[in-house]
Amino acid sequence: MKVRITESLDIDLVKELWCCNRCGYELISARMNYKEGCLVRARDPSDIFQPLVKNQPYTFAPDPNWCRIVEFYCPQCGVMFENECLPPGHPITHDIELDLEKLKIKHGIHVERSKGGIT
Amino acid sequence: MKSRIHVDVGGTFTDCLVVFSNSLINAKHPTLPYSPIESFMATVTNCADELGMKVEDLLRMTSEVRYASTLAFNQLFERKGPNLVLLTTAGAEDAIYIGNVHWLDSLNNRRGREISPFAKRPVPLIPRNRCLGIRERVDSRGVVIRPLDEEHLRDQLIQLSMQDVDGIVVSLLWSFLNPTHEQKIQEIIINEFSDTNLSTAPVYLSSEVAPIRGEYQRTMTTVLNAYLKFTMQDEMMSITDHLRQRGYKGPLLMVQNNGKVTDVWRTTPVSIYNGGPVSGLMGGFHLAKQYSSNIITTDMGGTTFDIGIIADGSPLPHELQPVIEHWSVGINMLEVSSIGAGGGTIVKLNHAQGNLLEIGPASAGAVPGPAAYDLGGTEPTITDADVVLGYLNPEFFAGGKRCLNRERALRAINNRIARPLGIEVVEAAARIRRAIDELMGHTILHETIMRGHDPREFTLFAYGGAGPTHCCDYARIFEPSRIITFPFSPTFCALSSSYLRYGQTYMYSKPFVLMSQLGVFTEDYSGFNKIVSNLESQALEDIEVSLGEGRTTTFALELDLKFGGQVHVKRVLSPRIYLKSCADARAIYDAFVNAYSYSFSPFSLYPEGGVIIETFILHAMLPQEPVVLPTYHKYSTSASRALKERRDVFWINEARWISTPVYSFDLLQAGNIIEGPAIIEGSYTTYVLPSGYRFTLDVHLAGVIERIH
Amino acid sequence: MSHVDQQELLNWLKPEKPSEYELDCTKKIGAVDYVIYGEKLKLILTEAMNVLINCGVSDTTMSGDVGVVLCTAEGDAVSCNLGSFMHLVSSVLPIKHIIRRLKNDPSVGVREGDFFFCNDPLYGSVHNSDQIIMMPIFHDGNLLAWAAATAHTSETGATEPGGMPVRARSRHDEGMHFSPIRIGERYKFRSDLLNMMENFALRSPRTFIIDLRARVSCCDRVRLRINELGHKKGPDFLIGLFRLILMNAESSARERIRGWNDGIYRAVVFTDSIGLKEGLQRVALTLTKSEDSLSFDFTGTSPEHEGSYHAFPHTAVAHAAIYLLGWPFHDLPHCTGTLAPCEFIFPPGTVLSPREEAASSNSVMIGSAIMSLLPQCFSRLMFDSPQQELVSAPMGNTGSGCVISGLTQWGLPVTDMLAYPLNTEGGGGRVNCDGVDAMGFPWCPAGKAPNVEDEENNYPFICLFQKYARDSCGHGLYRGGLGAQFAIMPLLVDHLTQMSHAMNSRRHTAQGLFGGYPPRVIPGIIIRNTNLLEHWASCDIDITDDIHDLIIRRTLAGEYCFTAHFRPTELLHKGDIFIEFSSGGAGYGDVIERDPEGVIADLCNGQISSWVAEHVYGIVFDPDTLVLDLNKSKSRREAMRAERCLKSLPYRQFLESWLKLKPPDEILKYYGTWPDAQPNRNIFRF
Repeated sequence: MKVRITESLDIDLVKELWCCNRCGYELISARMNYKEGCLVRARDPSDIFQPLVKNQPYTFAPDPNWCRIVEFYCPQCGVMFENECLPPGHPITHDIELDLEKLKIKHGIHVERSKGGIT
Repeated sequence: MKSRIHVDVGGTFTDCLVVFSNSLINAKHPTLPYSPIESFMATVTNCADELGMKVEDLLRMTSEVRYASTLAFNQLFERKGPNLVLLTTAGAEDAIYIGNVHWLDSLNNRRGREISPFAKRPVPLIPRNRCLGIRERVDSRGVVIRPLDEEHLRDQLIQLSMQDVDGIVVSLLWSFLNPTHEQKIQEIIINEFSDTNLSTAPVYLSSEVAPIRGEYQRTMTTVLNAYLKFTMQDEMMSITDHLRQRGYKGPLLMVQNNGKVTDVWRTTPVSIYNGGPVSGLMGGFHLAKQYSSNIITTDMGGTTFDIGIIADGSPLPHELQPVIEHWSVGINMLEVSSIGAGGGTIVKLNHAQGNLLEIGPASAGAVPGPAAYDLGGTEPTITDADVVLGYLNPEFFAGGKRCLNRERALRAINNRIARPLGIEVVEAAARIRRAIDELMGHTILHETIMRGHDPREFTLFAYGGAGPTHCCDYARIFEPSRIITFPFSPTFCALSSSYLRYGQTYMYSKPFVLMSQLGVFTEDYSGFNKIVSNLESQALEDIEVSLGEGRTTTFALELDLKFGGQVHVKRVLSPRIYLKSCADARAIYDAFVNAYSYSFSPFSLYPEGGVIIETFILHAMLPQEPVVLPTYHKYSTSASRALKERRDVFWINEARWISTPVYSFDLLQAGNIIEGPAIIEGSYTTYVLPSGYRFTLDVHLAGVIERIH
Repeated sequence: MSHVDQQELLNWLKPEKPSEYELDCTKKIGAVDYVIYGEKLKLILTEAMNVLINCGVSDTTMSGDVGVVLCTAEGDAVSCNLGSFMHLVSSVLPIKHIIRRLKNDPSVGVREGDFFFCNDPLYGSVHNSDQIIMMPIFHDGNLLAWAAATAHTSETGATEPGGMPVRARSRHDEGMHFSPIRIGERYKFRSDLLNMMENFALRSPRTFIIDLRARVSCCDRVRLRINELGHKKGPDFLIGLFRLILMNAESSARERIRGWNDGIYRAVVFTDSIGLKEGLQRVALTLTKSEDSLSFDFTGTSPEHEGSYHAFPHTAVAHAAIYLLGWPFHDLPHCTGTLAPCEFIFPPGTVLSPREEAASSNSVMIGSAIMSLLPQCFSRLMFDSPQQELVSAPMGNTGSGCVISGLTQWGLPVTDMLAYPLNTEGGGGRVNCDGVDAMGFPWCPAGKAPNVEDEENNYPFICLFQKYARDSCGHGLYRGGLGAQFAIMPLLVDHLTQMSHAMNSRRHTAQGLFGGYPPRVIPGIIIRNTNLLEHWASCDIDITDDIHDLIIRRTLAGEYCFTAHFRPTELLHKGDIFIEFSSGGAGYGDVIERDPEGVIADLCNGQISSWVAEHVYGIVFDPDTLVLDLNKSKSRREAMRAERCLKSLPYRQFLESWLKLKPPDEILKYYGTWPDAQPNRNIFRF
């Protein structure tokens, strides 16, 4: 059974997998960071924000020395699950780490007690 | 002998009350929204019939007609108004779209606590792409710092003239101080575009409609008036024309939401908004003197349920920040709350939420009306539930003037509610009735305690066509000390308009120093007096034009005052209309200080800043003879002469059919007492008296309902 | 130095343990009475708020950066009318200081007729512009409750006008700081203290005094009404009611938390200024939800520094309250009981837990990071829950605060922060619709933007532009709400001074949600030495009606200066145009999924530009008529999807090159160690 966790991400509770909500693609183990199952691209801010003025230290587009837009896509349908505006080289955030056992219990799936939860 | 006619046009019914000699005659007729004159004349004719007169004779003897109407506002709610355009100062085009920020514009603190993450902005009355920025600018002194760019304006108007334009609202910054640019724009449109689409589009200037500071409120007041003007004008003209043809020579006075009436040609849509319910509140206010000092007024009509609160010692409640639909307006409006819960309110099942029973707010109106009206309605309504349960007599609805078709009511409820839920029709009807009574009861509870009162200390006035039919059940939620219904309950708002004084208000906004920072009072008495006398002259001229010569007019002057350095003003009733001496100026100052200390706190008095008058508000009023409730001889407590039959009624509380005595209201006498369960049938309403309640008819034929302990 | 321990302050936020007597009193409150009189308390505070707003003067007071709070005799907040939810937290702490440290001190004490003042952040204020009056409420000689009224009054006598000096290096640059002090006795101000306080605010003494009086008036109104209620229902009733509210609030909050999925939710945001200077800083949150409790761990946040963008731990919690009471717990009682299931962890020495002498007048700037972090974590927490409809991207949370100072057209000195740019930030895109355009002031949901005419009535400038700013929103499946553009020029005086405390000119702090983009950044712009009034008078050039077009086309001659968004005090002369923007809200969801008709509608309404419609949303349309070409748009978007897959890398491969990158050293001075943000410098404040 699948549970929708974000706008475009599901968890298959039986298979314990992150899945794309749009096309069903199975990304990676639900015990890991879903981002590790994605295709990733870092974009220059001026791809998304038009500077409006040239040759100025401050414009309407963020400065690429200060941030890049790191985008995480479904490898099958290309939907963007998430993006992060990170300084270049900053580690990727592990944003969702669920207690899978409790989630399974909530949805009526039997859980063996020996499996550990979140440490 | 002169008579007076009072008419209240509601969403479902048009009510009329005629005061003729010492008698009060009332009548009700379904509102025909596309032909208001028809319903208007039908009610007047009914009253004339009851008096044994021809309509023309009655009208000839009528000194004034008072009129309250909601019709124009349906257009607002349905967004079916004219295609307007807004011309405003370039750079400030989003004034009405951003508003004072917040999706619930003119947010008041009560609603503020319900701020939710779910809110949305209302759909604007003028789409953003029909708002044009005009290149001009006046500053805060009224000085022109950017002359009107007439060439650019003409280009914009040429573009406009190729579109559908039903009206042009012009609202420029600071126009109330210096209207020349607004007037020039109007002049150019009229003179230079007379052979285009724009020639038939009226031009509304904010400096004329609402000369107050604050571009958002000023513009929205003007926009609303423009949006509703045609519909209102059509309605008014058709009524005045028809009345004149039938022999009426007096004025048509409109009931306004500031609790006054004024001549129809002086009034605006914004000022008549909610006039009927406000009139009912004023009626309650006057009757409070006879019955109780704490009143909750409830009016359950065909479409809406209106609630007003009058608390002992408090002045009449004004809206702190008056709102029409979603927008702030710059007017003085009395406070009446409304929800969509009336006899014609449609009941549905919400399939998305597990077949939850939903009450309204949509109404079946007068046409097709409830299914029981047999006019083609198939949606079940509250009236249909009351018919099925036996509360309403299908043979004797509206005083016998209308028959209800119980079969149709049964079918509507069965098809839409009972069958989908898998329950019996009677059970479905019972649920409907319980749901609406709870909704109304909880709304009253909420509104009362939101104003800081304990409803158990209040008397409930129940009026409107459906008020007496439901009042005992909705009162269970908040347990008022007693309930009072009036013989003219169904047309209460129409009657109440008789209490309203004729009044017009004139404003002048410009800073005037009353006291300097050094504590010296003004000596510019002539400056002050000239402002007031100009307003007075205007008022007298208008009244003469509207009502003819020789009317005794009284004036009251209010002033918006503040301490220097402050932002907000305090409106105060001035103890002097003219200044003749330092003592007069001081009297005004003292009145301000007292009012300020009382409303806010003595801690915040700041005389070191001096005192400034920001706005002069002159009220011109005519005296009013209110209607006196007739008094009747008191008879015995026995009501047996009025008992006409028994019928089976399904009482909700007992959840079963009980053979119930039915009385005829017209045969009851003052002093009679009836204990529930009982039904009392009147001409335009049915009183439902459950077990545990006692109904006593007092000397004014008002029904006083109390719990039996 | 101070008598306060920061951790102790945090502990004071938890409701006091009830006495047996209090618990007995709760048993006397029936269900109907609870509803009626709980509502009655709110209404008393609403009435008092009305007094505060009507008697107050400063723009921020008018905008709603205020709070009226009712506390128990022990200082727990049971009801409030706000304003800003921050003030729920910041009211409790100085009251509890008075109760614990001053009440039984024979040299001070607490008596009927007293009222107290506090504005020192070390004792609980958000920053020293947020000033509070606290009034004890007695019944028959016994302390029954406290009323507290907070309002932001700009001028505090700091090194720069406006009370939030960007150049402050320590608290000693920030002007007036008062720990809780009695300034009124027997219902009268002590004129010696009033005089002294007024002298701190000599740049704007009238505003200071009027606002101070307004707070006292407000508290006095609460006192009167609570006294009436006490006489009518008896003090036991009120004591029972207060305690019942706290208990019910906590149990309701725990019930709600239980309905969410246990787990760990992490987010990071970044700021681009410390006040004094530019510099990258990180604020990190690890939110752990377990059973019916929440733990907020801010470990990983950048270290403290020499500037003024600091917040003490309780101020950080006050900012968290803005989101918590505005969203996940919006329908629960607004009292400290609701926050009781939350634990907050602040390692020492970060921007959220600096040493005592740190400058904090701009705490709201770093506090904004918290307002951007919480929606990230909670949206992930609430999506799979009955509260899914509350999921939304954050507002911009920029707080474009520009302060003007000088003489008004009436010849009086004034310093104030302008309300309009603060109160028009866009709402975040939501789970099922766009964010609200110009939604409000992120710190205060009830804030209001003034009319131009109100502004110009009070201040000697002219508002040239005051309207929506196109493209200011974060884009997404559901876009954020638009922010606004705003420009003023001195008119009735020859010059004014202005300063701005703000941020988000190099990068934005807010992040988008679930694929939505953050809003654009905001440069500081002033156009100097224009002859705008002469050009207007002669109509000789085409000056556009939109700031974006003005700075692109430059038809108006002048010196166009682009700086960081925050600006220290400088003079504005007649002819200088000061430009400000409020931020749009962040976007929600993937831009490629936004309804093409919605994009075209935004374009027709001037809310987005053609560039954004084409490049960001992938929509194809006729440039002249703006009519949508649906088929070509579909193809374009298919191509964008394909491009995404083609130009991106699998995660591990991506990391190989990504982790080799690093920002330039000059912007990492205040960051801490890279990338963990651990302290790596000694901070000297002098």
